[in-house]
Amino acid sequence: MISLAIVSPKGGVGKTTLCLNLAFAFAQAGRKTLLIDTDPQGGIGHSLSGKAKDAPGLVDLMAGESADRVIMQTRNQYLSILPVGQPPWAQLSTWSAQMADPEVLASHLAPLESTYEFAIIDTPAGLTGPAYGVLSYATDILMPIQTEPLSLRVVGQLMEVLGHLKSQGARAKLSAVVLTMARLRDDTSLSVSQEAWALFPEKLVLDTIVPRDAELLRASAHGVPVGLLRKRPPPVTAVFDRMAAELEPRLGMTETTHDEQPIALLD
Amino acid sequence: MMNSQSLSWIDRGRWAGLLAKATEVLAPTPRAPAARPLASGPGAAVPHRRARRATPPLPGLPTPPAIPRLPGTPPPGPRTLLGVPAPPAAAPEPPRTVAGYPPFASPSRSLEERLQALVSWIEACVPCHAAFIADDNGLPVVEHLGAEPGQIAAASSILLMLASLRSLMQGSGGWLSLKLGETILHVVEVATPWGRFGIGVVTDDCLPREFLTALSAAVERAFHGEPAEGGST
Repeated sequence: MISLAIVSPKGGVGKTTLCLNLAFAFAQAGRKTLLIDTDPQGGIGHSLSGKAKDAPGLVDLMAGESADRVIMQTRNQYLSILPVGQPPWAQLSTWSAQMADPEVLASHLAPLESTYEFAIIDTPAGLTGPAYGVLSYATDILMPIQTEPLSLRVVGQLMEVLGHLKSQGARAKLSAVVLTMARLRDDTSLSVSQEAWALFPEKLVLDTIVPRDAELLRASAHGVPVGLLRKRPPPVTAVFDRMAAELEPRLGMTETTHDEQPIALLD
Repeated sequence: MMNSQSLSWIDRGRWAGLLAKATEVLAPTPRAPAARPLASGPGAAVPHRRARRATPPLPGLPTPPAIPRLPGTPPPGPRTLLGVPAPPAAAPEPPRTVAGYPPFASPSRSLEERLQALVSWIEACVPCHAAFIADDNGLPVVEHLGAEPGQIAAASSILLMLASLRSLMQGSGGWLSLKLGETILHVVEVATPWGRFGIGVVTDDCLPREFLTALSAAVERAFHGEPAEGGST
């Protein structure tokens, strides 16, 4: 299972929006995808209408619950969600410290690796606790950079931690950088983008840019991926389809075979 | 002024080492292309927003890597202020002429001016409600007449669809005409060293095959340039 962690030292850069819509795009492309939320605030659950925010999840899986009771199957047959569950708020620091242990996530997700082709892991902002554990576990890292200066100034922190983890034998590598919440007509946003393009090798920065688009806000308000906002999805949906297509070769994904099979209309 | 100093405050001396560790297999070859024009003074040239490679060179960074070329495209020359390669200095090919349409010619060495000339040329060749060039994010690069945002955004969806179709059928490029209400939106896909673009034309009628042939030649010359005596820069 390829596991792609979306990690950023800074909050509010669009990690959860990216995770949700990218997972949906991969699933739409026929990749059997598991969207995992490791953020104790439950960003994925709060981004979706329905029962996700109150459902059991990763917390319960770590407490011994079986995977099939905590993983939610969506209406898209290729997309499942492992919400974070209900964190033990009274012992949150203990749980976070437990999550930072590289072995913990690996041991609980190992049984799922044969079921899913691909996992997208949402993380809380910062580089400690669950985010540190995810960096230790994942195979690939996607770093969103919000096109504003503060987001750019903290990218070095992730590189430092990743460098340290790799020296400890972690398998994860920084596979891609994506610019988010971009408004390239704004001079500061453009300047940040240009500096990001100059800082990173060309092969590392995705050509696809997530714009600051009102439709994403609208989708969040309705608790759906933007591709399901309405029958005819808004144009920004194509951004995530294109990003998924751009990521596939970088992640070493082979040709999908799922969509070669007939898809039953009824269960 | 915005681009005259680093926004990231990153220690460049340490950056290359961090990048090498974090990316494992990707060599640390950050790009450091030519300077972006500083649009700070009155009357200063406004940089085109597609000039994404136009960041000032960063101190201590190696020579910028070459932009990978698409098959069949000429090697890029020196970068211009817009951050895109200037037309090569080789002897120009004469414009291809298609019966019924004037050959496209633009002496400018500026890609932006050539693209604007291309849109003007389209408008001169065919009666149309709108003509534009959009990038594959559905954002306008050049637009003339009354192009609607929805039509430009639709170009992005059409480019995506053409890319999907290419995975099923061999070939490159392509164009699609879409009847929308009373008008027809034509989108011609163009692959360039700077990404994919869609040339959009909104008309009442189908476009003649001869025009599409002429457009194909015009697009080639607009994107890749044609050295001319005394051309503007």
